[in-house]
Amino acid sequence: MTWELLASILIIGLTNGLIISLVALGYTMVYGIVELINFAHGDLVMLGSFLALTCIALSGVHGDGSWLTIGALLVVVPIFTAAVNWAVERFAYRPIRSAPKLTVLVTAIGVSFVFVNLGLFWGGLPLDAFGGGRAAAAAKDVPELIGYANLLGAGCPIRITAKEILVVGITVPLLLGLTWFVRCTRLGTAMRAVAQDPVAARLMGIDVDRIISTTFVIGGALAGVAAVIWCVFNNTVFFTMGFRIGIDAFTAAVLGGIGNLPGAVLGGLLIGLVRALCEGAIDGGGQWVNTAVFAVLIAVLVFRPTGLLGARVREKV
Amino acid sequence: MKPLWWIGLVALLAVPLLDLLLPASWQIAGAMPKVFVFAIAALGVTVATGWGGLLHLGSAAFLAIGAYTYAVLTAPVFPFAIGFWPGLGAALVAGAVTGVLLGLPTARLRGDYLAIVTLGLGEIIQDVMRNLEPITKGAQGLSSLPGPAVPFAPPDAGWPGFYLYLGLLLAVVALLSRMRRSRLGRAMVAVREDEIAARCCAVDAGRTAVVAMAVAGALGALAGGLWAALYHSSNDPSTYDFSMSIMILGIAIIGGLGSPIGALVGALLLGGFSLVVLDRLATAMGGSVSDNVLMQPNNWKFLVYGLALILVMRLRPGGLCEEPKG
Amino acid sequence: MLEVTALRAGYRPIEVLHGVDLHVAAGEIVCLLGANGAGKSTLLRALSGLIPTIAGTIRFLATDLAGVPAHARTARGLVQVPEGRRIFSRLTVAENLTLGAWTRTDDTSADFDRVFTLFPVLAERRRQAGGTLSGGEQQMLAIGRALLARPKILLLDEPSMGIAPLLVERILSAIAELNRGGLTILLVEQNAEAALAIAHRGYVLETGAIALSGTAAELRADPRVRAAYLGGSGKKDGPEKTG
Repeated sequence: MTWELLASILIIGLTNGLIISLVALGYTMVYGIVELINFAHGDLVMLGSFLALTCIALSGVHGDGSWLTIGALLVVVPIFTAAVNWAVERFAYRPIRSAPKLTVLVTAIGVSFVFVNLGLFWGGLPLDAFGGGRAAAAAKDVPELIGYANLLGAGCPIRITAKEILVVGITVPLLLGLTWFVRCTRLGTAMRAVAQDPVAARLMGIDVDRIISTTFVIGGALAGVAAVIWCVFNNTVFFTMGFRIGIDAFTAAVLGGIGNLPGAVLGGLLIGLVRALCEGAIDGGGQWVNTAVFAVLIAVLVFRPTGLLGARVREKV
Repeated sequence: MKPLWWIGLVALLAVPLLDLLLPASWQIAGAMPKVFVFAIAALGVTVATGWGGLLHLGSAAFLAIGAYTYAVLTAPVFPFAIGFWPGLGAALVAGAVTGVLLGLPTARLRGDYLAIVTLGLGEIIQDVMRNLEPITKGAQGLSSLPGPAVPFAPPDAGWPGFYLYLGLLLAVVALLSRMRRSRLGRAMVAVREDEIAARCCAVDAGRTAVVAMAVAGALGALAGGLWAALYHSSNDPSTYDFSMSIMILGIAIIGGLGSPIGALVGALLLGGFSLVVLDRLATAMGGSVSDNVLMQPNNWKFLVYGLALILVMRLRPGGLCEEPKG
Repeated sequence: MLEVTALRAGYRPIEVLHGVDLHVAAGEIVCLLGANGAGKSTLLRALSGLIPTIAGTIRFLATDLAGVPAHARTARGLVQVPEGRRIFSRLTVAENLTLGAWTRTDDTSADFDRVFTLFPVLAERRRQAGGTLSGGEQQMLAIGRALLARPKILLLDEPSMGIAPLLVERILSAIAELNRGGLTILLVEQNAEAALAIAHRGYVLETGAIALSGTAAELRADPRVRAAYLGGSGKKDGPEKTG
């Protein structure tokens, strides 16, 4: 393998990994605090992407250098996904919070299916960007918002475009900011406290319901950011995309040790790299990407069941 | 059994007779065997998740294994062509072996981690079936497979298949009802309720989990073999996707997780809805397939599943026919 | 300050408390004695709002607490140090204390200082994870954390459980000291001798109902208490009660 190929594989892997990390954080935060695999989280990214495409289509502002559009989307879409996630927690998960885990998990799967179906209906809206609504299930193209010009110069064998810069420029500060928020602020400390012992947290006067809501809102907003970046980076949305994204992100969260924020980022980057290596470095490897991702996951779980950075939690006897 | 079950059973047996009275586009006996296949697969989840407490999100993988085992061993393009019954038997064995192979390394993973591993298996199997072209014929799948063979029955009639599949399903239900009361069944439930306490009673929790996975694998693969026979084809590998696994899980849960009769009821409700009612509705609405996404019955499927799961979990978390405590 | 009337509470189908009457006046240490399973912890949980009340009333500072959620009770000054301490083991000592002050919006630095003077060991270990402390230190942290909520009444659930005897004395004397500073305390203890040594009054809870009540001296002298909770002899008196 040439070093140019390796470098571009690394660039693709790490940028995709950062997007996965954003979604994985939503999984891991929610899991850390309510021990629920929020199956609907990937589909929330899908709904956010449909909103982003709808906004682009309705405003008609796109083409190379539409930074203002991206900025506006980064406000509108996260607010929407955060609100949806808040509502899901409030109306679907909270009423059954003390029920057995399986009950809540099945509810989450139910929510995921509802989202997928809403995405299908959304894709059927009679908009030009959606193919006039004639093929609801078909993938929709997202208009370019940034160009493909190689920032390292047209002749350089390694490609870095404004898209990669955008991904890194948004996700890295966000990941650092979130880590700081959870580690160092009062609210973040309260979130960690609720994750450890909700009863003791209530005795401290912490409104556990509000902390859980906050967690879903933050996770939802991150999903919204991921949705916008997805649209800009991949230029396509389809109603089943949430499943694929969700699987990658959830795998990343488990890989890093579910409940562990830096672990989710590490897991996301690893999954991104594994995918990119499998696609780019192995002949015919593109067909085996999912297998490679899961093989890594299963190996980690078998040899280190709590993930790479997961705490070894003793089970209460 | 309660009288209600008997009435239900008789009604089920009478479905092919009912069809004689209905116009062709409203006949349902032909579609019912698919529902029975889903019920058998759901019974695998009943054992793994309902009894063993192993959250199983990869049932479709076992269906795929069963369908392809059956397909490879019976397809005319290969030299084996062992026929319907031996093919089914082979599918069953392949499923059980896969279940054991999956269970051995993962039996000590509990709950959510096992869920993600079974889910992963579901994705991997699709990749494998799609990519091993020489054996599986890739995206087309293997076709021209022998259908269900019922001795002494006219080959083209619909009812022999109906009664054959129903008979197999009822046999599995009866077998599982016995198994639930056996030492093994009680051991599985004991591990689910409290693994540490069960270990203290000398129950080998790891082995119990492997057995649960093996039974689930065998039933899933049996369902897969029956599915392939029904379509005379292994189908496209992406048939066996996550939504199929979830439909099977949903069937097991809506009826009442852990209860074999519950899986049957769940299959009649969810499977009946998606495979029979929606299908008939679409046919009834005829060729005037509208561009409007809302006007196609199949486009409402996931919404109905999703809401059904949410509502059942909220209002009746034990399922519609909850297994009595104790 | 705290008035409980005909309280019935429990865990879903099972009722544990079958009509408990109890009151704590401002400035008192009241101890609640009883065997395992008598319902002591259930009573504290009901007082804190962690489990719902089936019937009866809980009045705190002359207002009915019915419908007031657990976190709001803490904000009103009814603060519990739960059984088994339940400190946040992966959070640092300082973070644990900060969470104690969660409901406060005023300056808490004076209260931090007070906790650190009361339990100097916490000041030494403020950067350590709570889980690395010894049992006794964790109990100090749990009490310190509760103090930062600026309680009007402190409910203590078995502060001596699983703690080295030397530290039990240290913790009980700290409780007495807090009381001298004006804090009202409801103390649940199995170690009846130690509890009666610092309490003014006490109740004995048996199978979900108050079986006996009286001043600490009366309870110490009661033959039933001596037989059941004070190891039979009752000859040895604890240190003179304070305050």
